[in-house]
Amino acid sequence: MSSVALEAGSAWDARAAAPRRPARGLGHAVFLSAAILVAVALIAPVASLAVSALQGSAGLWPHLVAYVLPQALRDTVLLLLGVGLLVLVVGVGTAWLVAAHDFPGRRLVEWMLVLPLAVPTYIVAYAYLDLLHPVGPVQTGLRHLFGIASPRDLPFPEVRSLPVCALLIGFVLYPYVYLPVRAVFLLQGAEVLEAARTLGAGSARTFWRVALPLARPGIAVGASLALLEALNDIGASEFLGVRTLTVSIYATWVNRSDLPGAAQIALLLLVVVLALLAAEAWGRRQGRYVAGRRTPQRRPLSGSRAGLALLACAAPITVGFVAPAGYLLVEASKRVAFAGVSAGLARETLNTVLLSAGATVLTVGLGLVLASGARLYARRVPSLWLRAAGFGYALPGTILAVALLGPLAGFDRMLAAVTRDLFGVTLGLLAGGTAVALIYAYTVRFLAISIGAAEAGLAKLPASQDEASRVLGQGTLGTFRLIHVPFAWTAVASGALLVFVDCMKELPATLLLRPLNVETLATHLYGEAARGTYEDGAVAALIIVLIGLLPLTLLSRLGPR
Amino acid sequence: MQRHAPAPGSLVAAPVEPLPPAPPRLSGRAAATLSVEDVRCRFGTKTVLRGVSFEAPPAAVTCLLGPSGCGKTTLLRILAGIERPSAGRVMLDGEEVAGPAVFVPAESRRVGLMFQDYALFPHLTVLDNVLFGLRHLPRGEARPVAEAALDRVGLAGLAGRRPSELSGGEQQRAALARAIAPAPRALLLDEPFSNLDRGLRDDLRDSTAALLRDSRITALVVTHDPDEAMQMADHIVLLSAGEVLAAGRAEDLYRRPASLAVARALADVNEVPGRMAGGWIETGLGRFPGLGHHPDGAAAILAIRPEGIRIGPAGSGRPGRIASRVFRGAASSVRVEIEGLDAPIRAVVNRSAAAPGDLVSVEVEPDSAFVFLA
Repeated sequence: MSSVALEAGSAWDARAAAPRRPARGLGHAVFLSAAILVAVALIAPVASLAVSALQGSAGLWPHLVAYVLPQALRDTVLLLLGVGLLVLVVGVGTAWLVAAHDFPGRRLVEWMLVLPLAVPTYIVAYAYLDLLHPVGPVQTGLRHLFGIASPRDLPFPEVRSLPVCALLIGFVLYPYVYLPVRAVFLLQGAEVLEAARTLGAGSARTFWRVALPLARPGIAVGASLALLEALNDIGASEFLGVRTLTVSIYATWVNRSDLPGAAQIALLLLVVVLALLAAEAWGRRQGRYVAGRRTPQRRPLSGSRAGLALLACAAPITVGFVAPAGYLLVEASKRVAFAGVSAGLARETLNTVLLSAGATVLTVGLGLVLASGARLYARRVPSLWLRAAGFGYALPGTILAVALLGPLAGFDRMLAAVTRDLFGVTLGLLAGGTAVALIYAYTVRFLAISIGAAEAGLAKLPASQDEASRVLGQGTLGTFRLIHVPFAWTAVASGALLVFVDCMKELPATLLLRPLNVETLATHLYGEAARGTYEDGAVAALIIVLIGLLPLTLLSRLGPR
Repeated sequence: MQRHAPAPGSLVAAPVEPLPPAPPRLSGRAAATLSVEDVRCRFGTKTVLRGVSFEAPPAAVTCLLGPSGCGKTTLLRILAGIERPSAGRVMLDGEEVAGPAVFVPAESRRVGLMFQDYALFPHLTVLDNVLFGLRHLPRGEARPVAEAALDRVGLAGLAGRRPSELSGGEQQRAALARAIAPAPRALLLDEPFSNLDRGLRDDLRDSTAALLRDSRITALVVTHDPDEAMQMADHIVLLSAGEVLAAGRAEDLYRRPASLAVARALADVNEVPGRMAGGWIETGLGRFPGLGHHPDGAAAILAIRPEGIRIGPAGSGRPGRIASRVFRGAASSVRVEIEGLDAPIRAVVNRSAAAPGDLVSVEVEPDSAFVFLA
């Protein structure tokens, strides 16, 4: 019978014989509408940005090209190179030290290494400007040490400079690399590393030839997150005199009220962002997490090697967290002892937490639905549109805010017209004037984190699990609820914590999109800093850091041991 | 079409012994006939299945045997409803579940699938894994069914464990319990014993085959191991490069292979070249009767199973010399050099007497020798 079939095969046309697609159920509708919703939510601001840019006069370009862009592009690229190098060396190096080695204090530094994540770039710059000030504790201490009387006689590098900016940003952003890479080192399992060692590879060779190539997807993801965050930074760059593209956009808009000009620089920034994303895609090509059964046996270190390992892990913790947080603690307690806690701070803290938590729930829910839907429905299609959904993360907060105001105002006008015509009710600004706009902005900004977390969690789930669930009678919604959610929960939770911290730290978008008369801690800090009243800013900054710490302590407990 | 008992003379082995008293049904659905009609599948430019047709009779164990890459796992996934065929039909008891106009998805097909890696849900206990497929039943009814299924595979005591706390064999049995609990119309097993060590594999193979027969489930077992297929199956479908090479009872395929490929697929064969003359094949081992339609002078091959070669003391048959011997426990494999043959002949001896260098005589049992045109 098969020979007959074979002869018939020559005339057979797959397309003509392809089965009709059956009607798909509720699950498909849910996943599809989530995908469409996100696509629209993402396209609207980008389209709005393009429209704004087009409204500018053509004569603006020569000015930008001649006076703004060369310097801004140069500073941006140099900053990215510096930050990139630092987060790779510090993030991968510390991850390898704590994942593959054991030394006294390893458990402590293993969780402390994530602490700098609680310190936003604008806060670390703000703290170090004081710490490294000619009359600040560091330079004063050095002068005492060397017996130098005048601040002018101490040869100290210029603090307001690009290298210092890259250094400070790198030391608070390296956990973006440390976290995924450590997870990969722990998850890829003992078998692979032990196999390398039985083949005669020492610690160094195992690292370069086995562990590092296996961790490549994690490294690419972490580094791109850190660099996108560095691109988004406005506070540190501005405080330290670095005129990046983002700072130029902000200045063009705020100082010259030139929205089209800002939008035009933003389009150039988008090119940089696209280059970064392309580099990330290249970095994680053919990337697959290899999940092993056991975590690797850590190689014990002793003596001076143990001391060096501990030192290497303690340095980034000190620079990125202990010093700035300690400074904030001292300054804040001085302030509280002097003037008490300002009445508004509690309310601002509550506002911050509510806004961030609302955005986190929405972001994480959407991220899980999208990652799961891509797996259930588009297994053979590259998840290109998931990458596209993550594009919002690349949009700097300032630009996102400016871009969102257009569509939101349009939506409000439309809604007002509809309610007036249908119900005779006059509405105020609904989307633009409430938390909706801000939560929208947060969600667009941070969806990439939650999608990435959900995808990473689901990547460890073999495809046979989905198929087993379906063979046992569950549709896509059931598989999502009963298999994907419970399995990816820990990965999603860690993503949620990152989203929460990022929402809370987000400054520019909050500043522009917050509802009238609503202050958050970040905007409070910004206001204080703008007025030059540094002491109260320290209290708000300390609260931001402390709230940022809460999820981080949980994070270290959730991660693989 | 026969649904409950195989017709006399059909390819299905009728159980000779009376069945033991029927165990309590897990659910009241009779086993279905699974028919595959001209199923084709291609991914992009790669054609995996080139028109596969066969029938798995109800309440019997059918083995889908083939080397890795022959398309057997793809076929299984199509039968389960995970993959769509590019063309062809899959029928369950005459009801089309996949075809040009119909595709019943996996979750609605009521076909069980046991995965090669078992795919036990790591976050659920063994009992909850089994209950997963019984969600259509009220909780009160589902639990006894799940417990009965676990009892059948001997895991009643481990119901509260997580899959990671089970041994390999226990995981296999948990996966089997999960697959049979919903009383699927047909049960598909993908290389069910490939992850087990040998002793365990033999035990579980026997107990699984017994359980499948007792439960009167239509079972389709995918394997690359001919011994496994012959031990388990009532009916074997030989698959090669996306096509059905042959189908039938294990013994028929073994004793009367329709082609050299079939003879090779089921067990080791010696291949001795020769020429046809007057319906006989002339080889270095002598003349053997071939089939009538083989033309004179045609190049042909005499295929002989190793156990069809009788080794005796020198002098009685065709002379040979033992070239090498491998001890295999109950029997030994030897290679015998024979004058006039390019390659040594493989044979099986029970005596430990034969040692390399010994001169022996070689005889061929006509029943174990098959003639094919080269």
